[in-house]
Amino acid sequence: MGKREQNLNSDYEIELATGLGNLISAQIESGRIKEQTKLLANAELKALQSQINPHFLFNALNTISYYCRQDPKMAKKLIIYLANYYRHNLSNLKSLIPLSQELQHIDAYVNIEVARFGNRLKVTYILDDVRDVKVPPLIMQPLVENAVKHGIQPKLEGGNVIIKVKKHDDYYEVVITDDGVGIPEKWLKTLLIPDPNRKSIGLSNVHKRLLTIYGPDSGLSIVSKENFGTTVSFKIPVS
Amino acid sequence: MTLKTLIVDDEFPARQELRCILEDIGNVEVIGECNNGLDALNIIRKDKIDVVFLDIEMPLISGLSLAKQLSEIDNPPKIVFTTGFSEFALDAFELGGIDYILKPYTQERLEITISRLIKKSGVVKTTRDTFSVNSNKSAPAKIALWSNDRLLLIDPEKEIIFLKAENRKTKVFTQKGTMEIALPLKEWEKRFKNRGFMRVHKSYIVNIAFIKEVVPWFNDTYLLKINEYLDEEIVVSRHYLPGFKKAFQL
Repeated sequence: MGKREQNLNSDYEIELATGLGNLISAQIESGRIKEQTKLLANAELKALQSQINPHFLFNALNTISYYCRQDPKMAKKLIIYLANYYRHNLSNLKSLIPLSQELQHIDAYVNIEVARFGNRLKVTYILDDVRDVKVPPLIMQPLVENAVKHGIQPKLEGGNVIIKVKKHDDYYEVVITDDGVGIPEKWLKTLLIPDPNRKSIGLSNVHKRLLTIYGPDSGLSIVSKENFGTTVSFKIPVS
Repeated sequence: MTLKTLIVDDEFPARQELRCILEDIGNVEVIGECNNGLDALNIIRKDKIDVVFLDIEMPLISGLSLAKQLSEIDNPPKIVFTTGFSEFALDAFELGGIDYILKPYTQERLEITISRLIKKSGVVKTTRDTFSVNSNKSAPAKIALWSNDRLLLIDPEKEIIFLKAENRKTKVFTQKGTMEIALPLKEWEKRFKNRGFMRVHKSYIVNIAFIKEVVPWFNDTYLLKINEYLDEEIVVSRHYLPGFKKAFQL
């Protein structure tokens, strides 16, 4: 009798132990996935930041060198913009920053590009009250850079970029529109899929970070037509 | 001697800056500026231009494809590529550019370009292969090699000591330092075969003039000693032994 009870006990204990084991390992697993997701988001951000963007840097310096001769005050302004641009690129790994800070970063970039391209580039901001909005750093800036670099710059007569942040009831809508050369349809499908061989990782990187931070329903949406332009948008939920 | 010059760049400040520096240097007449390659092509077809300063990244057609089109016209102008970032250096030379300038521009660097251009146009008629490192025609008198961000002109017979294949690239040991180029040893061998160079190993080509000593080595091969590079174990391998012995009548 005693022996049988012992067996029962041990069967019960084994089951309990197995159950607990499964539970704990599931929790460890889910914790690890969370950790990995976080790490991934961080690594992605670092990858983006470490893109020093040498073409931009050296061309900006060449532009400044011209203004040193022609308009030293302007040269000084451009140096400050360049400093702000790189400072923002290189610092601030905090998870969220005020949207106004991201916009300042964009403005520094835009001012340098306008100095380079003159009236070939026109940038307009249409902003609702964004004082309370926080965003992941470098979430809008790469989109603006893309619009300038791949939309407007290849177009001889240049064009417009419109940066819009619109407040809705439970989210903010960020829209970057350009009337540049547009994206060929065959590229549109693969644009958001990460591809280590692609030179420009801006779009897929931002897309992935949006999904990681705001969940599977967020992410970038891209509408483009060749020779007409491109609109890239995403939503930031009100937390 | 005045060089008739055309500046092609889609950025206004870049064109102005280059124009100012060139005019300061002298011997240069900037006869026009273009913000794209197609306009440039039209001007070059109409007017006699000696040299084109050509930005690489531009709308409509890139500087590289303009260079390609220019190579097909009679008496093409010499091309000096300009760019912010040097990822196209080799392409640029294959397309017959005679120089490659990085932004931001400096007067010192452009002075070198201009004096080189003047020297060339004064002494010999320049064909577009003269400076090309990837020409399949007769080997050029001098070759252009990148050393950091400077382009050095090297006389192969007098200045190249030996070449070494390393990680699919070729290291060129010269009297002006060591440079690296993405051209396989085999190509070099073809080009410099009858100019005092000898392939002695699958990884080495040596300039015979620089061999100081030939030391008998294991297995009936030889070890070559070269001044300043005594650490390099340059062994004549079996495959190349017969040719080597024949050349030195060993």
